[in-house]
Amino acid sequence: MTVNAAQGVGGAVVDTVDPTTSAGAADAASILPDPVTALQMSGDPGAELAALAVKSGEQQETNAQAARDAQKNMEVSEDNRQVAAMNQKANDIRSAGLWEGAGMMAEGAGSIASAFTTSTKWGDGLKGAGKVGNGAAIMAAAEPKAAGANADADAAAAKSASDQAKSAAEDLHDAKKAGAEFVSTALDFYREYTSAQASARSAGLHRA
Amino acid sequence: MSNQVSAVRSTPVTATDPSGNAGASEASLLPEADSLSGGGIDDALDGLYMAMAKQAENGMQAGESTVQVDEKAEQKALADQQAAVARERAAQADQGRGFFSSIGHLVDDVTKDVTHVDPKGLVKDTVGDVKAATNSPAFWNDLEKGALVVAKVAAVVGSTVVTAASFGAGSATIVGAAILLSVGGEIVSDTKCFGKASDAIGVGMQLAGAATGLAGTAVGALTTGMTEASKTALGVGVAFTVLGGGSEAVAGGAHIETQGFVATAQYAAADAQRAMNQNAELEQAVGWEIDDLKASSKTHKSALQATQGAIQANDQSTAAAAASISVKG
Repeated sequence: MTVNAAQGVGGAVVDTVDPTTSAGAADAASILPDPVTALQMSGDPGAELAALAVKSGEQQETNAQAARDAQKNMEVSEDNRQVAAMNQKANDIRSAGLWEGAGMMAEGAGSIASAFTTSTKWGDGLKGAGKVGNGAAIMAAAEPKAAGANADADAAAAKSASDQAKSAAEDLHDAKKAGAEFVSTALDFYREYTSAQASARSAGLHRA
Repeated sequence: MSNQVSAVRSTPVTATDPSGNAGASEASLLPEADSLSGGGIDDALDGLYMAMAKQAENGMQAGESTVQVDEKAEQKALADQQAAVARERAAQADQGRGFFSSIGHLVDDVTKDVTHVDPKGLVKDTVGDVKAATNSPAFWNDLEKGALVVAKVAAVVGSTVVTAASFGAGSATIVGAAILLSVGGEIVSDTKCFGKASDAIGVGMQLAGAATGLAGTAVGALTTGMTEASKTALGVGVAFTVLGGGSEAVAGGAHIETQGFVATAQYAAADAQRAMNQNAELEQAVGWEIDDLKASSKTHKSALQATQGAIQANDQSTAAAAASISVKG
């Protein structure tokens, strides 16, 4: 509880202060007891029950939120991995295209060179060299092409993992909502309880 | 509850006022020592009630501003996604002017500028048209496909003509048939004019062309040496070979450009996906924030009602106690 209260002439003026920005607030926090703990130790069974329920709901909320945030982080991380894989695939496409294009150019150059030689052997040799160059380039392009296919698979896996994390985060969000609902219900119970208690006390005094 | 109330009431003001000389004025704000009954409790509960109300209000305001920031970021992510999708679309192979359209457009502009004797316009239009063509994925795609067809046909024609010319005119008719078969096979394979059977028919025609070429070569080998016509044919064959090689080299360059556009489209798709993911994440965050605010508001409402109930219960008890005392008295 980080409520720092100051009561003026016209009534109380109370502000909520962030303990990270004010040393005074931290001091105040150490003075103020946790209201739920105070209720829990009041000796009143109804108040104790309400306090336990509130604590339990709060705990559920806190745990669910922490788990939800973790799943959310995982979802974001997997989304980023998917985009990185798609970018990697683009790099691979460009790289494979460069190799393939260079191979075609080498084969074309071999053909052109072969046309300008009178020797059949040299001509065939140049053509062959061009074809070998193209073949080597195709082999070199196979590596980035395979990497591109792997990147596709990575992206699909990341998307699937992201969807799973999203679904889990939604479930945990529902659990968090249920925790908050439980706290509200506990507080409603306490209101009813104090009201009933006051009525009973009042009736008792009247009888007396 | 009474412990809490006491603490709220007795919190020193100096907690927020570090000046140290406010002690005298604080004294008047401190509760009476015996104030934890009757009206004293009511005052403290009032303070607590107001603190909770203020806290709820602050929480709601913070939540609302978070939602507003997220919604603005969502709008930006949506705009980014639309821009990335547009970039992806622009880099597709069918976007922009094709090869013949680009050439036609350039010729049209050049003709107009020459007709109107507009040298400035001529330079401007030529540069603009060339730039547009080089930035057009369809131009490079058409160039690659066309150059590959030319390269294949020229290579087949060139090598067959050279072979035939080397072995004399006797084999000319057979070689002509071989060229027709080989080129026809290439065309059938490339245009897929026979549907699914095109590849098989194309390969068959090329094999038949090769066999016919070999037959022509054999016939040529039996005939006399190279004539003038054969020498001319040899030159034509060489020219076709050069054309084929050049076309293949051009196709290679065009392939690099085409794949560059494919990569650009893929980068744009990745950007679009990133923006889409961000949008979905923000949408989820906004939904959660609103749910959290609703839950928090409900909890605060319940807490306020509980406090209100405690105040009323205290009032009732005090009134009843007073009435009882006066009746007894």
